[in-house]
Amino acid sequence: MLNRLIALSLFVSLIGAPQTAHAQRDLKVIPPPDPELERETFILPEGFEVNLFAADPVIAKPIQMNFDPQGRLWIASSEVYPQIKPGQEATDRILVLEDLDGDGVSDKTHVFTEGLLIPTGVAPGDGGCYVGASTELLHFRDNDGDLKADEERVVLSGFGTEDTHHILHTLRWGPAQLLYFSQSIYIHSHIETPWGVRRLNAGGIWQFRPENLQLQVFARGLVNSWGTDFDDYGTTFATDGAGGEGINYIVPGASYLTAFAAPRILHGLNPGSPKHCGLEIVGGRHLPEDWQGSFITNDFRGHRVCRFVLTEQGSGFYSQEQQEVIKSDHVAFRPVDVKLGPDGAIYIADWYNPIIQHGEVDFRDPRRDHTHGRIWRVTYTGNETLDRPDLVNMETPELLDQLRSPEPWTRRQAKRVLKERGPVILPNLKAWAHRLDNTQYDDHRHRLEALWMYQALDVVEPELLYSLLNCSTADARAAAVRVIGHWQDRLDNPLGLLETAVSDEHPRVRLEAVRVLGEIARPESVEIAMQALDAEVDEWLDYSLWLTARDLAPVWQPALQDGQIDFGGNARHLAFALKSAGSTAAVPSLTRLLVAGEVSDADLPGVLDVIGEFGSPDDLRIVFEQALSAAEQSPGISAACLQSLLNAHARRSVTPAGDLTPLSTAIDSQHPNVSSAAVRLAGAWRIADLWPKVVAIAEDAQTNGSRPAAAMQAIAAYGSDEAADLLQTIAESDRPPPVRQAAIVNLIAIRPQAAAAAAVNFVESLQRGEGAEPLFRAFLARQDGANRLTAALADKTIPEDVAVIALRTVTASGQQFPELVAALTAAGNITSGPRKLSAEEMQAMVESVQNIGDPARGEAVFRRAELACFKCHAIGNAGGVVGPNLVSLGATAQLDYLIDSILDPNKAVKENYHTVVVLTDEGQVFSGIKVRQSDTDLILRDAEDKEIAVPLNQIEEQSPGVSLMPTGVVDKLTQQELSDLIAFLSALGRLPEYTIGQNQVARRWDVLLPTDQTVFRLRRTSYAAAASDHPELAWQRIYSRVSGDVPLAELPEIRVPGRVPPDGRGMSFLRCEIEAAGANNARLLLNSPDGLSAWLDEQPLDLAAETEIMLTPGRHRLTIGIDRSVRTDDLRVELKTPAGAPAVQFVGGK
Amino acid sequence: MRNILGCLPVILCLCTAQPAAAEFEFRDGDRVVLLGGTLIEREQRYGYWETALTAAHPERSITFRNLGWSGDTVWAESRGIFDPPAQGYARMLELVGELDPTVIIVGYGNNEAFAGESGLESFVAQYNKLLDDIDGEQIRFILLAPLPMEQASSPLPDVSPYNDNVQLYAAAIESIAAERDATFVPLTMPQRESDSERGPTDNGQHLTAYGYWSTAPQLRAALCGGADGPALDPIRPTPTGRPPTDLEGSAATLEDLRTTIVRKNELFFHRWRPQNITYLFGFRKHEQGNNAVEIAQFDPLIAEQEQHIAKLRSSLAVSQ
Repeated sequence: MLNRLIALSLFVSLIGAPQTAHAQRDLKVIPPPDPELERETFILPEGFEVNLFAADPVIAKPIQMNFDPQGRLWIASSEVYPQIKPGQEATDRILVLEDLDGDGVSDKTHVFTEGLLIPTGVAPGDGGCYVGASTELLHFRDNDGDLKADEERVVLSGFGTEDTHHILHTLRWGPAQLLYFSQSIYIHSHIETPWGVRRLNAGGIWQFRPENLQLQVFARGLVNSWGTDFDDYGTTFATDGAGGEGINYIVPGASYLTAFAAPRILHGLNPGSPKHCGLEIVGGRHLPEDWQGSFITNDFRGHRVCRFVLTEQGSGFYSQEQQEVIKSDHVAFRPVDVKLGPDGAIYIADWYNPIIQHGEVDFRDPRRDHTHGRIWRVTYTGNETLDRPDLVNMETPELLDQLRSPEPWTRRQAKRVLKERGPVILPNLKAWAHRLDNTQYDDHRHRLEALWMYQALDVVEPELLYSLLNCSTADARAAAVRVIGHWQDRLDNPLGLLETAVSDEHPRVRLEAVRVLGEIARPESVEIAMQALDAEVDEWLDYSLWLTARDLAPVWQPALQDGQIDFGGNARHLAFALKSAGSTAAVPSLTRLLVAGEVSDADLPGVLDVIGEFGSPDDLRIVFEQALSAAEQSPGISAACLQSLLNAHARRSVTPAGDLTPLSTAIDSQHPNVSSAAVRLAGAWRIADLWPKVVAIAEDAQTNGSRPAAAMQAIAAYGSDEAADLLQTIAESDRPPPVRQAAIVNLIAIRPQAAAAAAVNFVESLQRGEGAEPLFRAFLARQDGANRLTAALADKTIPEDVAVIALRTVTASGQQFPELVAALTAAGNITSGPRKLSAEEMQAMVESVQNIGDPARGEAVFRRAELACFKCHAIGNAGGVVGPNLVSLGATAQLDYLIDSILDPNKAVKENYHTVVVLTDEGQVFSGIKVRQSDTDLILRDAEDKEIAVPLNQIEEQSPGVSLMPTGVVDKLTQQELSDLIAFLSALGRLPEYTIGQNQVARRWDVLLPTDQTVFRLRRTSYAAAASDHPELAWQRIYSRVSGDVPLAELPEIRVPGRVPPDGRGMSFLRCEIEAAGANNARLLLNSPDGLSAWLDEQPLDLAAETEIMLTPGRHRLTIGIDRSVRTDDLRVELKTPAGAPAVQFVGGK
Repeated sequence: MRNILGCLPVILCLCTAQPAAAEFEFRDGDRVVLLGGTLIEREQRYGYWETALTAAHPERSITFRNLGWSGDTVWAESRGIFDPPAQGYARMLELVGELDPTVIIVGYGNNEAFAGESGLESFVAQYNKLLDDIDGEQIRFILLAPLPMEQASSPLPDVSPYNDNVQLYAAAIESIAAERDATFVPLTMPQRESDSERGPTDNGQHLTAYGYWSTAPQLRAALCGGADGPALDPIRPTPTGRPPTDLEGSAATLEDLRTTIVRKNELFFHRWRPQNITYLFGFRKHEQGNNAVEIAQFDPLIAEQEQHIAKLRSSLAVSQ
């Protein structure tokens, strides 16, 4: 039984140390609360100013804010947060701020209502405001307009309160005046509506129509999403206050990071970002041209207000961060919400608190601020602020004209006023929509506003909808498609409309259509949706198709079996739907196509995959026969078929029906892939008649390649005494090491004691430990394997390097084997282990870092190959993902926390990074960080960054493991080096020179190694060969410094005889990858072109400090040769793309 | 006077629907636990039911603990938190055991009724199981019928199919009550008064302050047959849901009693369903578990309110 508590804890990415008061305990100096002193720390882009709009004492602790159509700012304010004390009255308030004279400073504060318990969201509307507070969504009405609530109504109840910074929050009116709000990962909500009970476990965004109480989940997941907004065309975005993926593009119905029980999720657009809170898409005449459509959000930990620019990329978007709106080092500046104001300025809610979060710092910590709070107002000096429109006093026709306003604020608020005027506006709306000038720029957006008003008033207007579905603006078509979903029951032929949209030329229109089809519960819906597979399918579309196929599965699967639908005989469409929905009953329709030869070669792997995963014995028989008949002519197909049969057996213990001995012919195949797979199958199926054949392969000293290993595996699968004897004989023989090793590995399951003895014997001869790692891993992956090994090591001596490798393997397993560690340490005669510091030692270490630690030297330590830090940790977008991204580590973690994390990695494991250890019913052990769990599989990520899927029905036991971070990683560092390393980590994201900026810099590189083959290859051809993909060239992954520089001194030098004088310097070669979303020009910026030659793909580039490059869509390789006799400067390469053009970026990751 | 007339149809209707089961009576010292979904949960924020039952017997000590949870069912579907509902169910039973009730008011059926006839059998089985699982032979059960919805105007849904189902579930609960010798209370939705701005609900489904006030007589009639304490007519909430102002004498005491009950309920809510449970008792208790000591500190505060309730109740008896 999976314990959800443990499972969830793995997901949560809130910074947290198991001991309270760890992370922020260094904070001793509480700054004076003078707002002016705070303001002086703000750094803004050139041409921008910031002024104080409102501050304590008239407001305190603003959590969320929203403007009303009158231009007044409503604030949810809580002094009770994080936890009500016994006996304390709930006194929290909703405040309304009024700037009476329009000078950008609030003049009057109204207490609209008080006596609330931690209100976390407010949206003015319907004669008062909606408030999220504790378990309830409330509405307060002001009957006489004095800005004091007269009535309170419970609108919805049953929201969870498991964490007070996760409770119902982020209220926002959508483009069609539906109310959106969020809940976060720990929350479990159960809400009664007249339409039925709605439940949501973990995070998600709700969509709600207050007048009829229709409530649905709009998207699932996100750890703690405190920002939702819609662009001019209603495309939806969210930020995550505990996730690290920046801006999330929200596909309706999709699941994002940490959605509960989601088998598959979508990711944000800026992986490697710090946490972000609040979101507002800004624009209008007050802001400069290049800020139009910018996304503003807050990095409340790093004291920054951030700006992102998004560009279209396929059916989704590419997002790039720009210079900050505000950057500060004031420890209490905590921007949490951002809204565009009626004057075109940007308003920022500053929660003002030196202490954030309530997980790791005590609820009652005296440094928690409960009384301060500010609203800041950012203006652009290049333009006047705007006159505020008097929307509520406008006649309806004039108000409708505001929907064409260049001001996004005005358009939004005008719709709010129109909506509240109700159906009386319909005649005016009709007339206004008819009068729109279709020659005018933005006409389609104005029509869309009219369509949204109809949707807001829940009146179907088909003609307007049709005109938008057929208009020339793709964004407007996509938005109109979404409206079809809302009106599906009241339109003549919604499926007809969607069939057109699903083959639209624009991928996002196709995506919206695919998602709307998922809401129309008819068998044809899935057939129509799958037509989107005929055009280009990117990740977002693929996900949407998968989701729609799953959502509709209860409808289309029976219809397929009854023959009501057939996907037009298209094997690819059918296979995609079947695979998505995990269907078993419908596989025969797929095998029929397979037998009839109607599956193209390109679709075959996908089709076989589905049959292997879900097929019955009869279905598998067909695959089996296909494998045999293709064995000689089409070995690729045959091997794929056999592999799918292996999978079916391994995952579900299903074998083909009928006689299996014909497998013999495949074993005899000349094609090693076919033969190896067949040998494995012989063992998996335990075919007695084929035993001699398998033995012959194992015993044949001449066989090589993959066949001996396959034979050993097969022999072990037979499992008899005879099989064990044979493996033991080979393990103890003098055959080549790979053969012996394969024998030992396979012997473990059937004769563990002998296997352990043979293993110890085997490694005694491996001086450098080569190949020992897979062997040890195999022991650790068997129940009791470690104990056997421990016993076998008693009184033995093994080479030190072998012991080191074995210890590293133990760490990477995420499990604890103290006896084995002791045995290895003794046998290898080495010393190592976690270091636990006393309070005095810790104090001395902290002082050492502060006094002698140097971040620059520390970065060099971090980069050392033997520490392999980058293997698991990224800084920004480049590096491994096994461990936490360190991009803003220094901004949040304090020195003692860092020291502990390095010296004793298990003391404080960051919550995303606990491991689980899984025991299967076959006695296999898997361990890794839990990535997610689907209906059928648990997916883990191991220390090698590989994802492993363990079928749930094979899991017998699950238990929490330990950190994958190696203990003793810094044992060989001096005190100076250790102090430097910690100084570096503590500088990350805190000191400007160790903060990753918004520029696009190449950070992930491969460097050419000076192997004999490399030198030979370059000598035979030219240096240009380094730009080729020649397999003999050996490359190694390296990463830039945080600054973006590649240190030349760290690069190996290649000296090609004859080209380099004996006393001269050689060459170094680096390459990186560039991904272009569409055809585009970009500029490469170099710190200097001296001594460089370069190739884009294999074409030489003429390099200057700035070089224009032309890119076709897709991935490109940039190779740079460095003449070390000329160049001594480090290398830095940056990319710039024109605004608005398709995205171009360096490829990051591990 | 108008108020009393307004309630008359309801009382008449109750009289005709009154079941023949053995008359229920609260006893001095009764500890009452309420279980159910939103119907029960939301009572605690208005307190009219509890006030009506408390005031009916001013000389008897009866305490109430509300364990309602929005969206809940007889399977405890709302109570799993981080665990499956079965564990929430077990926790609910454990909590009921700790509270050691003598009377349990069960208010399930409204959410289950959405499943209609096809869900009825499993509902009845689980309802019985719940009553079986609540250990204690001394406990007297009061089973409330699910409340039908009020037909609100469009755009809210047509409630008649749902109300047909509610009738089905109410009848099933009535049979359960008969089989187990429990008390059945056939709740009905009060009629809207023609001259009233507001009815008992504002969404057709959930009782408002006025709704709890106007249904309280149904509970009193069913559960406090020969009671002589004051009814709630003098503290009828205003159309906006606020309590009446300028109350005097026993009416003021009655309203005081109600607000004290609400305060007690709020404190008890923080006691049994505290915010931040993840950090206090859950899987992140290694971080804030030290603050869990605060939660027990609600107990004396609740006891203090109970004393206050007892004092107000007694003074009602005196003023009778």
